[in-house]
Amino acid sequence: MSLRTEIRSAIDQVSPPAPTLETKVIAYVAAEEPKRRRLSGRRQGRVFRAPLALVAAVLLVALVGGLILAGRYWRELNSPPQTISLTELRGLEGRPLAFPAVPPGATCPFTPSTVDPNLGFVIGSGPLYLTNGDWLLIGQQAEWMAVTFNYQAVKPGLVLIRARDLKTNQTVAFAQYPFGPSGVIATGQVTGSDHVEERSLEMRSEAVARDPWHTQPINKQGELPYLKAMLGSRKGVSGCVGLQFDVPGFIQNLVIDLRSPSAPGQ
Amino acid sequence: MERLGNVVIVQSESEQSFAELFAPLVQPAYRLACAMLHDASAAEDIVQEASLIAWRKLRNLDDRSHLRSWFLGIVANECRNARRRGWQRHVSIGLPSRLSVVSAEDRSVSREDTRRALMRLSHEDRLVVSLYFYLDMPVSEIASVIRATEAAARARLYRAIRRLRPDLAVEEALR
Repeated sequence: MSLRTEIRSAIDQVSPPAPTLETKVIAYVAAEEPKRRRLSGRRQGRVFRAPLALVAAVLLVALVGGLILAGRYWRELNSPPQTISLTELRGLEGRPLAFPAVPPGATCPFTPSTVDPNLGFVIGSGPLYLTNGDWLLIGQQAEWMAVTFNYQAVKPGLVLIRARDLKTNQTVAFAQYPFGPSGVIATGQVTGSDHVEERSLEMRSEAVARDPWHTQPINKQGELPYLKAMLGSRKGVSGCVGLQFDVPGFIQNLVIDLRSPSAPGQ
Repeated sequence: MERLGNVVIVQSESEQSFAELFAPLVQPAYRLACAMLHDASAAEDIVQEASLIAWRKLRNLDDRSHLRSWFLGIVANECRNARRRGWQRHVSIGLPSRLSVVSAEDRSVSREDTRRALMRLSHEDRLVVSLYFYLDMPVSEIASVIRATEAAARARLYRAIRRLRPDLAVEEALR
């Protein structure tokens, strides 16, 4: 089989026919047309040319300033968390893992989703929820998924996140989310490194997040960074992944499906 | 005034004009987006967004004989952005999920391996491989899509093939 045939066969499997797409696209663009025409009907382009240049200059200055501030913030997020108490962390690490046992051949006991009035579909009963997860990248060492949490902390303290593949008992790696700021910091033992999308990921054994009282806001409105973590499943694992959150006052266990969309069915 | 005149001309083009220009490009765009993302529903979204962007920027295109490569360039760029914001896209769903039902045929080891190998490629490498092998595009047009010289496009294609299939000679792969 030629490489061309091989590639076509592989991609055809993930590109089902879309016979009505032309109609959808035309309708989509047409729906935007009246709005665009309304805006373009004004002759502001010529009238405000000079003020626009001024606005552009101001925006450029603001952009440069923003980049500097963002850079400082990014460095801070990626530096070892200074406010984390090692004693507190060791205390959480000392707690035993309490994942459900999954006998060989058994169905994975995925935690069911529920609907939270504010967050939409979530996994978890709170105060810590998994709000989103999406397969992202395939590296040389692992397949990576970005997961997002929401933590409505009832008391100050660290959040320790650990994960295992429940069918193979292999550890699931954590890595720092590489595409933006995140309140989750990959920490613990370095277990390897991976390379995805021309970025290096340091694989770690666990992750921590600071509580909202000790997390620096990302803007003046006091918004906190997303709690995003990169979870990496090494090849050959089942994708039946247990997550344990150790927080002062409670332990929460969730079981999620960490297989990539292209993985064969279980 | 002339530029303003151009804008008026472009924007007064009817829905029919849009259909005439872009309808023949929708399926190639969809195939490219599928090849880049391996996710059909995301690919449909990408084609819609890219079509709107293209329609808005059509006045920037000097030579409409390059419409296809210009449009596919926009699609490729949107695919790159989609991967970056991939998991915001699924916020409303909120769950790590299997995106499609896996058929028995889909479990074919070679297809699976090929798909995984494709997804391991960088965006740029996957783009040239998809354009060449999946859309049957000549290297000269690939160069236009990626905004590079023909020699650079050819070099990138060769490099991508070597990364995709180190065991295969490039000449053999190109057959």
